[in-house]
Parts: sequence; C-alpha cells; structure tokens
Amino acid sequence: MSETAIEIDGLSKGFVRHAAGERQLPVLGGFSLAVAAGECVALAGPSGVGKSTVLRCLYGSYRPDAGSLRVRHDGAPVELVGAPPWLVRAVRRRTLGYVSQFLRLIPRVPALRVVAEPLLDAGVIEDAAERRAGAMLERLNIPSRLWDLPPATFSGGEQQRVNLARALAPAYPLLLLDEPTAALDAGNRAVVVELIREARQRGAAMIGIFHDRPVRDAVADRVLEMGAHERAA
Amino acid sequence: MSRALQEPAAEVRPLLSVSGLTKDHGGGHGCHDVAFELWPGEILGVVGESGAGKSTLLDCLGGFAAPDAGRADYQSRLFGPVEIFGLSEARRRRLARSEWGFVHQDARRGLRLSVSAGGNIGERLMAGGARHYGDLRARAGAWLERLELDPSRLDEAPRQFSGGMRQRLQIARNLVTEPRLLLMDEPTGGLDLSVQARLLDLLRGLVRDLGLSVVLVTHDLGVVRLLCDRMLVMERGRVVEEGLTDQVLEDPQHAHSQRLVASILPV
Repeated sequence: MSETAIEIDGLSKGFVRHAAGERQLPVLGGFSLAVAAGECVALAGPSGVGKSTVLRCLYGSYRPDAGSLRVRHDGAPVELVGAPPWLVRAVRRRTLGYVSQFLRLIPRVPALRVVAEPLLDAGVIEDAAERRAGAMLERLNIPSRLWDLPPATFSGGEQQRVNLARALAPAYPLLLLDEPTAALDAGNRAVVVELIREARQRGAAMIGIFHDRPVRDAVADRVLEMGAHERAA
Repeated sequence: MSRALQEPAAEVRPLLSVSGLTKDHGGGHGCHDVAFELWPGEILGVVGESGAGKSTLLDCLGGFAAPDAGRADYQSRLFGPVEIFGLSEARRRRLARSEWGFVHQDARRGLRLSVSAGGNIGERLMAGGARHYGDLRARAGAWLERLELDPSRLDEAPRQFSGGMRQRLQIARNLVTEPRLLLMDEPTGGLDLSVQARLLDLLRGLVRDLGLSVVLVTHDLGVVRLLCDRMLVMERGRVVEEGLTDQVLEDPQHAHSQRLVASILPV
C-alpha cells in the first residue's frame, strides 16, 4: 500500500445564513476518507450530498466547522484546518490543484498566460512555463492561433479546456476534480481521461466528482457513495 | 501518515504587523482596534461600505493621519524592524519615499500637476540622491513604458493626461524606487471599465515581478477577486471578518460579509 496523501477525518461543514433568520444549512457531518498516492477516488451520490463541499473544504475555499484535513506537502503531512493563510497558499502553489467547473476569467490575460501563471507562481522560469503551458493547451486541442487571446471570447468547451490545462500543467501531487469533463465533446473527454491516468501513474492522489459514468469508470480506482450517513443531522 | 506536522519556516515573517490600531473621528467614524498581518508578496484587500473606516486605516499607515492608539511593526530594508507610528519624522519620510508607496484614488493628490511626467517619476529618485539628468530621464521613460504610457510624453504635464493615464503615472511615480510596501486607496475608482481592466492587469504583473506587498482599499469585490490573496471586511470601523479571498467570497461567515457578497452583480 502506498503512502497516504490525503487524510480527511470527521469533516463537518454547514452554513449559517444571517439574512434568512440565522438559518442553519448543514451539509457534511463526520465525513472521513483517506487517499493514497497514485489513487483516484470518485465521490458519488445525489446532488446536495456534499461532494463539492468536500473538495472546497480541502482546497480551503470553505472553512470546516470540525474535523481534520491533512495533506502531504513538501514531503510531510500538514493540517489544513486552521492553517495560517501563507501555508494554505504554499500548499496551493506547490501541492494542490483544483479543477473547478468554470474558468474564472481574468480580463486581458491571454490563454497561454492563464495556463502558465500557476507554473510561474510555483517558481518555473518564464520560457519553460510557457512551453509547458503550450504543450498542455495543444494536448487539449486549443489551437495555437488562440493562445494569445484572452479566453473571455472562447466557447464554453474551450474555456473549460483552458481551465483544465491551467490545473493540470503544473503536475501537482494532489488534484481535486469537480466535473472536469462537463462541457467537453467525446474526443476531448478521452484526452482528459488520458491526462488523469497519466497523473495517477506519476503518483498523484486525486479526488473527483464525475457525473459522466464512462469517465468515472475509466479513471476511478474506488467510488465512494456519499449518503445520509455523511449528512449532518 | 506520520503525526509530525510541519513547522512554519523560520524566514516566513510578516512584512507588516498591525495591532490595536484606533483612530476616532467622532460620531462612530474612524477605525477601532484593527489588527492584521501582511506577508511578503501578498496583496491584502480591505473592503467595506463608505464610512467603514477603510481609508482612515490606510491614512494612518501612510502617515496622513495620526492614530489614537495601536502599533504597526514593519520590516524595513534600511532600518530593520521598526514601529512606524513611533518613527522619527526623518526616518518616516525616508521610508515613505523609498520603501513605501501610496496610490491615492484621485491621482491629482499623488502627483505634482505642474511638473512634467518625467519630473514626477524622477522625484523619488532625486530624493534618494540620483542627480544624473540623462539617467533620470531614461529611467522615467522606462517606467512610462512599463505602465503602458507613451514615453514620448515624458515632458508633458499630468493635467494633459486622461484619468486612466494619470493613475498609471501615479503608480509609476511610486514604483520607481522599487518599494516593498504599496498602500492603495481605491486605485480604480472613477475609471471606465476597460481602463480599470488594463490597470488591474498591469498591477497583477507588477506585483509579481517586483515582489510587492500591497494593502488595497476598495469597495469593489470584483477588484478584490482579481487582485487580492487575502481580504479584510470592515464594518463601522472594525474588522468583522478576514480570510483568503476565495474563503470570504465563497463562504462568508459574518452577516455583513454575507450582505456584501450577496450584493455582487453577476456578469
């Protein structure tokens, strides 16, 4: 058994809406999961069961109410719950990639740069970063004539592929995938499946949400059905 | 997995550490007991509605207002660790024109309108001892270009520039000494959207290239989303929430943050 790369223990998360009479919206209660290096775990279950919430808590966009989230970062486990912001940023720069469902557009920044930015943040020099970014865009079938254009004017599928290229180019050891193939045609879905398998082979630990069953079957080592027992009371 | 958790690296220290900062303008205005840390290379957004105390906070840090209480510890390149409110006037001025920059919302406040663009950029260099005219001109021209301003307009006065150009000139004037700490008060306020986008994009690149740390006051959550690593939410002079930008925007905890986030117009 290879070493644990992600360890979620007793994760609970709910929301309080102050403007709606302090309404409590519990989402996750006591969720646990361990993922080994080189393993891809698919989260499954009906919508609202908290699949995306698990990913967002891990990435740090949501603040957990209770529990522990440990990830292997720079060769040692670090606790992300209550971690200082500089540590969360360092984990995001070097260790943890996140493919969201939509590309967050940045005005004026060309596609190649959008993809190269996380590499630059991780300290890769400019030439090398742009070469890797270009190679990843090429694999995802974004033609080079589009690379110097800001993705704001691209189609939904093209934007999603730029988004994927941005998250996959740095070869993070940990990847969170939230519907990575949602807006893609069959050909590009196959490319993404290939890229996820390659990531697994190089030892990346992954947690994903895949509504597309064939994609899920092609990449996941394990499917975790989330249900009422993970729900908060 | 081993239970040994990673200790923070010793060299990671905040550039600026503010605590208990209070400036009472009376009638509930001002800022009260504000505390935060700014890490090297970080852009910290300070948001809140008008009158929340954001600008008062920035004015205190920039030396435009004297706080009633509190301290701000800063890691100076020149002087080592210093407490900025207790600095002698001479040291404060020296830091203000070398290691710090202040970008006002109204560029006219931050520029000398009767002096040429080149003169505006060269002023801090001259204050630092640079005297060679050709060298000053060359550096001023290079900074105009870096801010996407036409270097052939070096000899024109800022009043002949558009609002967006004046704002970029004000930024060039501040960055010419490669400061470590930049304080910005609504830098994109009052500019057209396309002009804003250009300025924000330029700032993103400059912050990365120069390793700047920035405190940026704005009421525009879109600007924060685009530029800031971390943010503080202020209400009635107090910090009511702080966190990574995506944390506060996607999972706001405080009632006031939830109200602000709920008011963002979708595009």
